[in-house]
Amino acid sequence: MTVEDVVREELDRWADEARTPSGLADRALGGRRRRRTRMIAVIAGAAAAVVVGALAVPGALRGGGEQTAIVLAGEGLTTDGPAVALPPSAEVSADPDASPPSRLVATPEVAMYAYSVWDYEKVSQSRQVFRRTWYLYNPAAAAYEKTPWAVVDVAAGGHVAVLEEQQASRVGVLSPTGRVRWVELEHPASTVEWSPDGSRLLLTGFASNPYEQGVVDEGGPSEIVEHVRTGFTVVDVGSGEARFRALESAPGQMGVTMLGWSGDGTLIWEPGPTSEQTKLFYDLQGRPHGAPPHEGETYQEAGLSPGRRSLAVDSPGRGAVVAVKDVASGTVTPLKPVAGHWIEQAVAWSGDGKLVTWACEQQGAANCRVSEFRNRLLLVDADGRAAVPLTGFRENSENPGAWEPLFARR
Amino acid sequence: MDAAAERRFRDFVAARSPALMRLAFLLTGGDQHAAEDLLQSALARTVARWRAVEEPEAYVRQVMYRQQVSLWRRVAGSRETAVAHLPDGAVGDGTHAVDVRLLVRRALARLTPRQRAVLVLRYFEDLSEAEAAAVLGCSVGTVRSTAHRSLAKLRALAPELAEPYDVIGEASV
Repeated sequence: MTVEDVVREELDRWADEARTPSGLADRALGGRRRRRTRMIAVIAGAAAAVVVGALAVPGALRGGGEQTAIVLAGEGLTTDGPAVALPPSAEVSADPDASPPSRLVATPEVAMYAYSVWDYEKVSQSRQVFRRTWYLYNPAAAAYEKTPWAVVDVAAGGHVAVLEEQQASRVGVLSPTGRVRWVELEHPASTVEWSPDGSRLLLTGFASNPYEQGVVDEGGPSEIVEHVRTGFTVVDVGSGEARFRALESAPGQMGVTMLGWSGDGTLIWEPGPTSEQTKLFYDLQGRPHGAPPHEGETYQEAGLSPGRRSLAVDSPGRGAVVAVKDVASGTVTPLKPVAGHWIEQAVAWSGDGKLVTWACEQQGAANCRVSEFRNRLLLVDADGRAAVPLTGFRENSENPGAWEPLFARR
Repeated sequence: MDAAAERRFRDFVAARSPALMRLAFLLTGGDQHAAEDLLQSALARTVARWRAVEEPEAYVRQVMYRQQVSLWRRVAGSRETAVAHLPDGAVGDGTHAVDVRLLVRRALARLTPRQRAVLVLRYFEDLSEAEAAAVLGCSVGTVRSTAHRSLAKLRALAPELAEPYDVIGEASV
């Protein structure tokens, strides 16, 4: 046996000791993709715990343009109406020539209450911070208006929760008058998400600003910046009670793992390692828990339809990217090109019968005009047979300055 | 990256990350943490060029090799060990074969990243000198001389290698 043989054998044995971490793909795909998966209006007919007020006129908060919010620490306002109250409508409201839209984008079931424009701010030679500028719909002005908030989430019915900073020490709930009711947090939080029934808030905390990352150039990020998740806080909106639980990322999990609610609001999840297990679930004590049916089976943001009858999935075939799976029968219907558009991503369900999607303009049999990153919001029937444009085209969804929608049930 | 491309990337990572981690582990001399960083960084670069990359696995491997070599260039002065000395720690409690294996690992870990990369290319990936040169972006002569020096250094770091094994010079280098 030669020394080469010994080296050959030993390299092979030694390599067996390597452990493969989970979350490699998530981390490589970067911060902005990692987290915006939401379950919208998951339980059909779920009663909103927050009382929905009469049609309200938003106040000083969105008085226009660059105006800073009037911020008042309020007393318990458990019966506040929603900050953005939309009247019922049987019509689809769209702004098909504008990007981002200036008129309301909504269906009878869901509305784009807000959108954000993302960008990077360089903070050192090798580091940058991913930031969003949030625009919230103001029914009084019939327009989306800029807000000062670092993080925004909207619950069914138009209730709005905000963070002032990317590592915030308090979370705010906007009232119809523009007041903000603040709940102080024991641990800083970097994300906020409403529970599906609108009664609680889930906030994820990190030891450092999770939006800070290595400067990204054509060769990828200049450095990998580690962020340790500390845990999560659940805020009961009615009482203002905030409870923190330590919860580090799952073993082997890499990158920024923000937490979201399960469809019925009884569990929370972080991104999972594989396409068969896209989400890892925990109970509200932070203990690992099995996945609710079908909730860990897709990367598509729209997920399960409100009636839990259909699941937006990646299409298995080559003729489509997105498909709709009938949960009961298992039948998969690919969303093939329709009305001159390729369907690229399923963003949100509108009832059980339609999907809000990102779509590019079809060119030839299998191409997008200009690029796959030039796309618009398109409302598509779940059977894939009809589609209606909701907005104009983003020039390039991958570039800073691109906008991203935030939908919630009306 | 659109949803279809993202799915293809995720499928690729799910299918190939164990093999890629094995390579990263060896390239970093058995350092799990450094191996994860190396692979992560290579995957991030691959995402950035996903649409243009025809053979993602070959691309990731090449990025990892070249990253190690460029790392070596930056730290060459401090990492190069010209003088052989015995690995740290007592070895000799187990069987001779186990001892030799430990010695070989320790010696491999003490090579420079470039030396280790060449040995991994030649003896783990079983590439020819010409193929290894193409991956590293250097000449065949550089691969040959680096492999030669690396094996010599291994022998110096682990003299036991020469005893039980019928080591015949560097005939195959």
